[in-house]
Amino acid sequence: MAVMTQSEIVGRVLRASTTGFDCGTRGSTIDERHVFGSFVKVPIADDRSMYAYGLIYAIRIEDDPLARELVMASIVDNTALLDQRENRMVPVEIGVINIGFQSGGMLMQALPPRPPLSLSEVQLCSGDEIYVFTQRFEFFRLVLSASEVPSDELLAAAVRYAAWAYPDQERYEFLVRCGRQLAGLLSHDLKRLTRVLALIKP
Amino acid sequence: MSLEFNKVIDQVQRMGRYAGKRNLSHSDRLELALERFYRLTDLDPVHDRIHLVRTSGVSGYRGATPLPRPYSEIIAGVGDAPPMPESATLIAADGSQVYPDQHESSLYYLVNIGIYVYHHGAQRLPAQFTAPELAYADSKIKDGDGRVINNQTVNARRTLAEMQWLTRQAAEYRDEARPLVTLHDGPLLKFFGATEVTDAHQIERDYMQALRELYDVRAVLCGYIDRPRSTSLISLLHLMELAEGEINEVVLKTNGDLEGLTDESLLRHVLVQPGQRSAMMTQNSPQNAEYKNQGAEFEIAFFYANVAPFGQPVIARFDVPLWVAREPAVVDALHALLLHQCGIQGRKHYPYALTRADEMAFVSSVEKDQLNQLINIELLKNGIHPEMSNKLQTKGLARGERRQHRLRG
Repeated sequence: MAVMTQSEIVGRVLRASTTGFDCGTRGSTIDERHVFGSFVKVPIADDRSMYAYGLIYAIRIEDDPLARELVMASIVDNTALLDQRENRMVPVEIGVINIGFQSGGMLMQALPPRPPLSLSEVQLCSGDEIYVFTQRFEFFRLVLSASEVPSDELLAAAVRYAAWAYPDQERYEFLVRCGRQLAGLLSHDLKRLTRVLALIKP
Repeated sequence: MSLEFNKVIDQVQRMGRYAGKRNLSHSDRLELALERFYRLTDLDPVHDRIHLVRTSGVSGYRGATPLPRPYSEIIAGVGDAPPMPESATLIAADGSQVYPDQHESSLYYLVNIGIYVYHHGAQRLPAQFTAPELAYADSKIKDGDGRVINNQTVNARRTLAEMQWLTRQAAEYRDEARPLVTLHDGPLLKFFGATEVTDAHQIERDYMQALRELYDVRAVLCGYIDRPRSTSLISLLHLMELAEGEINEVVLKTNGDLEGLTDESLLRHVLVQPGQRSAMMTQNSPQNAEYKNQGAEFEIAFFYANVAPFGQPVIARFDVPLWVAREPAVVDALHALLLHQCGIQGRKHYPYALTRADEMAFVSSVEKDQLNQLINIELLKNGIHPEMSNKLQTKGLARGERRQHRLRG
């Protein structure tokens, strides 16, 4: 996946808190960078010495009264479609849950000390960054305990996404380690554990 | 409280009963109008009657007339939706404005024109842009006596700017796919009253110049009127029913037993199939005569069409200059293109290009506030301390952040 090898702009921060943030972009730019469960980062210091790390948990395409009327037409006019997507800048909002932060050389899997500022650039994490970040699994607990996100599906999607950052010979081992970690965290809820394991099974 | 509903509910109920009764007598008049309309299958008596009111000492007829021969169409005739042209270029212009406000910290007005270009039959991204113009010099915002210009003057200048932008864009797109349709929101016959509008005569001259330039590039100019309220056709039905000796200014002041009907209310029962159009007509008025005096091609004609692609008819009026009206193939193309435009927005039957031009032009109250802030910053930079009037400031206090007190649940 090209997205795993280079950092790219996903959008810009619209609103934020220490638990997560929403970023926005134009509808015409939505592509493989905007994937449920992908790892993103955003600077939380002006000098870019500190980044918050997060997972995309929701992608919302906003409507407006004109768009609602256009979908009611028996045939959607091709030029109007092009116009809507390119000229009218259909807003896309991307929800991100924070799972860690990096300060100096230190990587922490905990909530960041402060949220990013409005209009900060949200970037897709590179494959190397995901590889380093997923050497530890404390962020699993943050995701599983988050009430505002579909936590099981999100964690499974993130694990599958992260697996592609691993070399072929390490990928299976990574997934097994994830499974073991989940077994520990969800030992009190076997139905839930079974479901998440099924979602990440290679 | 702004409106006490307990004090208005009785009036609302009486209004409902009144509307019900009014509807009954309306249907009787409608039947009469339909009967008279379907009798107008011969153009000669209509031409004769129009000739009579134009040449006798009687004035005051403001109704519809057929187009001059040989372009005239049978009044009771109905045209079906024509085939769509393969390609065309549609340019729509619409404007909005911020009126001068003596209570604001600075005196100015803003006209913002939205332009939208739709390439029919081509998979091309439509072009769009806005042209804002901020007027602040005394020569722009005050009349000859030093009084601040009124809102009608701003409206007139906005209308002129819309037409001038259509002219510029038509010249720019003159080599693109034809027909080159230029769409204006509203009637083409403009009345810039000299008693209300500052520099009305100059605006009229500039407006006619814009029409001339559109004619020079053979643009298909069209004024689109949504929910038309005109009664030109009803007036013609009334005129045709009068005996020759009965025609006088007093009788022509009303539409007699058809008074209260509009062309739209009649044609909803005539143009029942999607896309159908009425005959092309012109309006008999001194204003249109003035346009005609500028050249026969500048007289304004009109037709009505049912722009709903299905279901209940939705009648719109299309104003076109005579240089368009006398070309049947061009009228067909315009008719088809506008039906298509009106079908794009699902349940809302209005030309998509005009909707988008309006969207581009619209200045929201938030944007107006931001503009005022920008102006205030620039004034401060130049040593002027802007301040709103006490009236405006106190209004802001009373209206802002109002809390409603509610009973605890």
